[in-house]
Order: sequence, then structure tokens, then C-alpha cells
Amino acid sequence: MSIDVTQIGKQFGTFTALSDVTLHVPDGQLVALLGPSGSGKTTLLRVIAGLETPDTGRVHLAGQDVTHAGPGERGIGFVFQHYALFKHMTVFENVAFGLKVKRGAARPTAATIREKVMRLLSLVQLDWAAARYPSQLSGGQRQRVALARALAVEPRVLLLDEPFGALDAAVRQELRDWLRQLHNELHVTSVFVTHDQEEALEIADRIVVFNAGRIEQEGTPGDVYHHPASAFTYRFLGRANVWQTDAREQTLVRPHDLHLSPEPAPGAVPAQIVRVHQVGPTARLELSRAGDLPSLEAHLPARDVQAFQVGQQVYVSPTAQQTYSVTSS
Amino acid sequence: MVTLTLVLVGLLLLLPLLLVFITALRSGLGPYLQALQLPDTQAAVRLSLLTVLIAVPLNTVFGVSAAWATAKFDFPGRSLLLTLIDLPLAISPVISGLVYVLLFGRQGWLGPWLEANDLKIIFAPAGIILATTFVTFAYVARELIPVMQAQGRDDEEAALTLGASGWQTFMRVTLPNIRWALLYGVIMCNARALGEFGAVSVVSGKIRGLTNTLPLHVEILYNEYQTVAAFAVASLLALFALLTLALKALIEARTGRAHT
Repeated sequence: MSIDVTQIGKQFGTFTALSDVTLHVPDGQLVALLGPSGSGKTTLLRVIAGLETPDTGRVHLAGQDVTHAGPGERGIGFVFQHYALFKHMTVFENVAFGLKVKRGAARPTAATIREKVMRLLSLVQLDWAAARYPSQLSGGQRQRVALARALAVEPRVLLLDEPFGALDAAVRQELRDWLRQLHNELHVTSVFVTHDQEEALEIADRIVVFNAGRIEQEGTPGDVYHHPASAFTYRFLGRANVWQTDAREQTLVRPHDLHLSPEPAPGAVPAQIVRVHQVGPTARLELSRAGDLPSLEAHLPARDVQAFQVGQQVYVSPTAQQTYSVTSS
Repeated sequence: MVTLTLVLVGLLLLLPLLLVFITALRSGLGPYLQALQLPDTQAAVRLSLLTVLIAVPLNTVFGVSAAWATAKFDFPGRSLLLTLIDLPLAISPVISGLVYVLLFGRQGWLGPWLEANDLKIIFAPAGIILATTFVTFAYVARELIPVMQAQGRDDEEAALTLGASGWQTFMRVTLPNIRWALLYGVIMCNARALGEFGAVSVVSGKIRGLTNTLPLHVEILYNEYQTVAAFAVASLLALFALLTLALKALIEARTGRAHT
């Protein structure tokens, strides 16, 4: 089911959470809303879910205006950052909740509910935990239960609010891959909020970058990463060095786009190695330049770093760079 | 320090409690039971129970709705409501009683109208129930508000996105989440309602057999030098207090182990 939000505005007191946001999410895609905290991405997700009423603008799901429909009437599934599992219910009861609260003829029989819940639990590989309480599960397991619970009502849109934000790095990576796989199987239109650019780049079909209540840029992960439309997007999607700056323009370069050489070369500027830092397969070098030029961070494959030492004079040149006018950042 | 605390607890808390039972049973079990069976005592028991049976459910409903409204929603006037909930706790119960006399008494604002319609509030059970309800207004709400605030809105929002109605959300999600705090609040409200003296004393008029609650009855008997009878009635209240404490301890032990 496609999602269309049109000219959404939302104020919280004097704080503008969203201003004039228009977005189209095509049917079946996995879309990331990416931005720093307070940029409006979670508010937009909650507006789509019906948990927040926009001050202005419309929300359409599959072409139908749902701006004033309650969250339960929209055919959405919502996954919360802190799981929001019902503590007093078992895993089974949690997943069955959305089916049991259906009214009248819409409510499936107990046998149908049981079969469906167990099927979902095996989908999230937690069928063995049906009789457990949420407090007996790890964070990653709880989030999988929350996902199964959201899927039980057969949502046409799945909305996830920082779904992996409360988990540690290894579990986060695992669940990320798993969510991507699940999406490939189910093809349910999904929107997830994240402030982790790596997460967005890794699993999303499309990325929507938020800044201060507005959409800064949207596109495929490749588009957004390789052609950032603004200095904000450039900086948000990865580490950035200021190569040079003046009153009108700023040139930015990624640490892995810096080339170091012991000998002078055309276009290269002299710099001194201040620190060398080994982080797994990558070496991070801190470089200071003469005059008031900003210092640089360069990333090299660890095996290439032997040629350089702390204190050594090197010549640095960018292999790729982006220039933005200063007012736009 | 520990010894000092224990001695103080013994002197200030346990000794008086013990004394209540010793004095009540001073002349033996016969006179004790007899004192409890006096018609005026029975009437006081009945009035106290009636008061509690009306005041506590009222304040439970009020407390749950006030806590629900202030903890789960943001609306203009929210902090005013939070302050107002504390009003009955901040005011001396005697003042609360006096305000009711000023409002509903024969010389009060609504006095003439009440009299014309043959309604009696002051010096009648209605006034006692009203005063008790006011004084114990905040007990359930105050217990629930911090708990509900700490729990946040996520669970309710999850239930709504899963298609539950507002009522289903409240019954299946909110209520189970607050059940122990609620029970705790109800018990404390109950204890306070049963023991209320100040406000009730002002509006009651102390008509024997008609407008005496248990605490008022204890005072009257004591003032009439019916020590055994006074302490026998007092021992009922003390027993109830002990029961309350036991229940409270039980709830605390239970919630300590509850799923978090």
C-alpha cells in the first residue's frame, strides 16, 4: 500500500516538528527516515500511524484519505523503540492481542488465532517462547515479538520507530539483516526511523533525510550517499573534512577520499601526521596543515599505513570532493 | 542508631497500640464483647461502613480518571488539575469540615435552599460522607499518577495501533499495568476514610446512633469515662489498621517480585 503525505505541518508549543513535508512512499518499498534527533522523522512516522494529528496537510494510504482516522482503522502495524510489549501477558498473548480485540464477526476463532500466532512466532524464530513473559526475553527477542505482534493484524503498512535503537551493536546488525530479509519475503510497505546512517544505507530501498522539520533530500542509498544535495546531508551520511572554506563556499572531503604521499605532487598540500589510530582493518590518521587550514582525518587500509609515521611530513590530495555554498549549510 | 530507632518505634508506636488492646480487655472478654454490641456502637459501625462504601469507590473512580487524564494526555489546565488534586491533602480536615458547614449549614449559602427542599447535609450522614470523600479525595490519584507517568504512553499506543478501542485499551492494558498501585491506593484511601476525625467531627453534630462514626464514637465514650467501651471500639479501628498494614506489606512483597 502506498503512502502519501502532503504538506504536513506540526507544532509542539513553539517547536516546529514538521513544516510543509510532502513525501510519497511507493507500494512495497522499505524506506528509511534518517535524521538527527528532533529533526521530525519520528513525528512524521507517528502522523502516518495516526498517533499524532497534523496541524496542516493530509495523509493518504493507498489513495484513501486517513488524516482523521484513528490508528486502529488505518491498517498499519507499529513497532516501538522500547518494544511496548504488554508485561502482564505472555509472548503468545501479546501476539494474539490484535486478533482478540477484533469485534463481532471480524474476530477469528480461538483455533485460528492459535494457528496464526504460532505461525508468526515461528517466522520470528520464537515459537519456543510462546509461554514466556517479555521480562524473560532479551532485547532482540522482545523486538521480534513486537514485530510479530504488529504483523498479526496483517498491516498493509509497517511503521518502525528506531526499532533497533535500544539494542547492542551485534544484535542490531543481526536484526537489520533479518528485517531486510523479512521485507523481501513479505513485501509489506515499510517505513523505519533511524538516526544511524549505516543502518539506513544498508537496508533501505530509499532514504529520506530530515533536518529541522523538513525533508533535506530523498533518494536511493547510492544517490544520497554519492550525491549529497547539501553540506548537511554530506556531513550526516559520513565523516567529513573541511578541505577549504571561504565566505561563499565550502569544500568537503571524506576521510577515505584523501590520498597521502611522501613526495610533493600537483594539487597536494603539505601536512604533518599528528596521530595514527588503528581501528580493525582501517587506520585513522590525524593530519595538521600549515596556517589556519582545518586539520584533517584520513582513513587508509591498515596495511598501507606502514609507510607513514607520526611526525612525518606528507602531501595530501583529495580524490573526490563536494563543494557547497556556505549559506545552504 | 538501630537500637535507638527500635526503642523509639517501641515507645511511640507499639506501646500505644498494645495499650489499646490491654485497656479494651482490662475487664475481660465479656465486657469487651458487650461494649461492641451496644446499639450506639453498632450504629457507628454501620455509619462508618456506609461512609467507606461510598467514599472509597467514588475516589477510586475519580483517582483512576484523574491519573489517566494527567499522565496520558497533555491538555490546557493539566497542571492546575494536578495542583487541585493535592488541595484536600494541604488543607486541615477541620477547615474542610467548616467549609461544608458554611456551604450547606442552616446559615450557609445553600442552607435555605436545602431546607426548602427538605434536604439535610450538615448533621446528617450525607455531610459525613461528603466530608470524608473530600478529605480522602487524593489518595488513589496520588498513588497512580507517578506510576502511570513512569509507564508512559507506549503500551496504550501499541494497543490502539493493534485496533483496540479506548475501553479495551484501558481494561486490557492500562488497568493490569496499574493494578497493584491501584489496590495500594484503595487500601490507603480506605484506612484514611475509616479513621477520619477532623472534618467529620465538624459536620456530624455527634447525634448518637445517627451521625456518629467510629472515631467520633470513641471520643464520646472516652469523654464519658466509659474507658473499656471506648478502647473496645478503638481496638476495632486498630485491628483494621493492622489488617491494612498486612495487606500493604503483602502488596509490596508482590510488586517487588512482579514482572518489570
